[in-house]
Amino acid sequence: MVLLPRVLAGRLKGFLRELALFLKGLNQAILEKSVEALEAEYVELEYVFLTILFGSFIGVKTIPLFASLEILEAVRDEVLILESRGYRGEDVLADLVSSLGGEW
Amino acid sequence: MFVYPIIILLVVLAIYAIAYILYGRKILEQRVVRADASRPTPAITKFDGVDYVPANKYVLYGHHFASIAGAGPIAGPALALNWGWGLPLVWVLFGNIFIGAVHDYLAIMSSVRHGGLSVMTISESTMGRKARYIFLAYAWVALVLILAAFLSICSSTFISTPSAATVAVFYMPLALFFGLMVYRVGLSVKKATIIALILEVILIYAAYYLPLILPGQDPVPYQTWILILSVYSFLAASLPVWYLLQPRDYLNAYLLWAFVALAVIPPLVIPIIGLTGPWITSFVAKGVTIGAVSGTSAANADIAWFWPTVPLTIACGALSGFHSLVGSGTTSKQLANELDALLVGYGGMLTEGAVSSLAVILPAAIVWDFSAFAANAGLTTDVLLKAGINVTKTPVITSLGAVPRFTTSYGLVQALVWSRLTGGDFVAIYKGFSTFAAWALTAFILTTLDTANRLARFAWVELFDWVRGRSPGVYRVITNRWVASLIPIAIGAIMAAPKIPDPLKPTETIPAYQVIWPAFAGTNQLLAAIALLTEALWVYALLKVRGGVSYLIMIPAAFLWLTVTAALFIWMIYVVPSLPLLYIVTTGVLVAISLILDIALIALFAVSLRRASKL
Amino acid sequence: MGVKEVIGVLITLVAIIVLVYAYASAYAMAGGQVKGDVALCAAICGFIVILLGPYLWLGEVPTAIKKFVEAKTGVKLEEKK
Repeated sequence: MVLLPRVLAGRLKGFLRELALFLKGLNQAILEKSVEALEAEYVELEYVFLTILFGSFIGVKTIPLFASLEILEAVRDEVLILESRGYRGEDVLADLVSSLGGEW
Repeated sequence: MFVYPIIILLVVLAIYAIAYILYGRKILEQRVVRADASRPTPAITKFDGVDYVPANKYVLYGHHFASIAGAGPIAGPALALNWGWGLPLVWVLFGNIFIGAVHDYLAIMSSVRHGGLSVMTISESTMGRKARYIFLAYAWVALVLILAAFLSICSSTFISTPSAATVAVFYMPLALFFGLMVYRVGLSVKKATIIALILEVILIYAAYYLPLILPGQDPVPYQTWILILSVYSFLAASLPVWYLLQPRDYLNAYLLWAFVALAVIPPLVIPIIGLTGPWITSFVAKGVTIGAVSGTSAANADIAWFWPTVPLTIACGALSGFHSLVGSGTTSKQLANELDALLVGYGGMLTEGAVSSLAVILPAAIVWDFSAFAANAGLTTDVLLKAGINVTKTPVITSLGAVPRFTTSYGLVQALVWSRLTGGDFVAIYKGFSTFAAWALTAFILTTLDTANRLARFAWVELFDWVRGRSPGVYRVITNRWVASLIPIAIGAIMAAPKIPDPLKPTETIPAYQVIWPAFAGTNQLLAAIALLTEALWVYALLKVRGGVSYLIMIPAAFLWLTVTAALFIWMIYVVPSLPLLYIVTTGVLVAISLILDIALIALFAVSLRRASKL
Repeated sequence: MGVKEVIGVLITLVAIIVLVYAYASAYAMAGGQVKGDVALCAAICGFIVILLGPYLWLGEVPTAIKKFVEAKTGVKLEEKK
């Protein structure tokens, strides 16, 4: 019985801590939401850039094949974007709905 | 009667909390989806630093909620008040728990399990390629109708609350100014935000003294606003994103939180005030609820049975198809842990339902009968007259149009709260808050207008990609950039522009959104129906959940499909013949196409279900 | 500054003057409602035009990005003509 207030106090502190995290998260969400269309544009640009770099792999003559191969090492991280775009393919509608803003 | 605002608040919170724990956690999370904290999500397995980035669950919740809360949950329940305040509340509570929030949650989880693909692709993989085209068609129709409905609502709000128009005129330059401060001058975001928010508050206050009233007899002002807003949305869609869109959306997020926070305060400050409205006026409302033109026989006929036509009014408040796209868009690609999805998806939708009940339904219940409200609040009807409410001409809240219902009830309740707290003048505070309410509504609408433009163009091009193989010439014509973007705006503006004259009262007109809204709501719910049917199939076929638990998803999905289809048939048969020719040709045809696709959809679903049950 | 920027500055100034006129005349004359035809025209046109002016004036690229790219490449960026 003596421990009960202590347990309750502990629970209350935990709840308040979660509430503080919740409010901080909301604030960050507001900030992030304000740039999500910009980020969508940025990803589009990255994707176009990578398509230019590696067009010769898919039969589109952009830069010479050997140049593409040489550059492959340098853009290893960016190729992940190309890969995920290839996986999603034409499935861009949902991304646009959620990132261009507007309340649905 | 012991039903008071504080009781309503506690009931709403309690029901949602219980549903979250018992239905959300125990059933959806553990038994249907079998969420596992140790299973890595796409944000981790496909991490690329741009699309797939794990996010903190509260940040994701804020993102998701801000993307789904807007004008829809406000306009819908305002129209549904024809059934009383209790019945719509029941739908917002239980429709949300068993259908709406489930739909949002399963959209996120199915997308997560498919590596971040959207519900559209999942519907293609469960029901075949035709399902994808049905999905795109519904999305396009819903976007065109949302353009029409929102153009109309925004214009009529600017007419009924002219001070909101002033706020709009100065808000865009303000958002621009904020963008320039941050991006060109280089001021820190925090400082720029504080400056912008202070200016915004001053603006709302000043707008009360400086309303913007367009000249001319009705319907000229309304149509002028439609034109201005179309030009604006075209312009906003063409300017760079950092310049206007993002700063405006950023400031709108603060507006949303202020709106939500203010909505929660009344039940706490005036907990015990009598609710003057009827819990239920009648299970069957007059046809005017679902858009029948008043004065015709359909409008006065008792054809709006609460079930199944309630989804034609309360659309986004309880369930909205666009949420499945939002959830399976960036949200699923940023989910760090499968267990977070319940808070983000299920919790986010429940929060929207709570906002809808507390910001729209509860204030309407309090101020329903204006004279009774005045008596309860210790005011006289003269005070209400000074505030602009004539209790002899409009004795109850349902005598007003949908948008004025919202701004009046929200304004009155906030005025009561703040005049009691600060001792200020009731009428002045009322005018300030009804401006704020009208402004919040139009701010949400303005952001959706230009996005809907762009998305409609995109959906149109996607819809016709099968033409390319058959006939490249036709394809090029159909998907030409200008054709694709002009068609939605043109149809939307044409639908929104007329003010339908009342056959019985020649000087009164009905705003177009009252006719368009049921069509928009119906197609929105059809979009949700295809998403929920997809998710039911996903649960049944791919997760291989059989037996009793699978019924928990199948039954809501089937119920939703049945409800929406029945509602739209009632609308087509009883309401459409009474509409002016323009609406029969545009709205009627669009909904007819959607209904044909709807029948095709259930056939596809049945076929896929049979195939899955054999495996 | 290029021609585009000058036009942008002029348009912005005109828009600000027009908007201020609309509301000042409303305040002074019509008792606070922007109602007369000229004032209304001014308010609406000002609203549309003020969105364009700063765009033409201040160009497309946000300053931070311009500085970043100039620092990285060492080449001074021209304003897009």
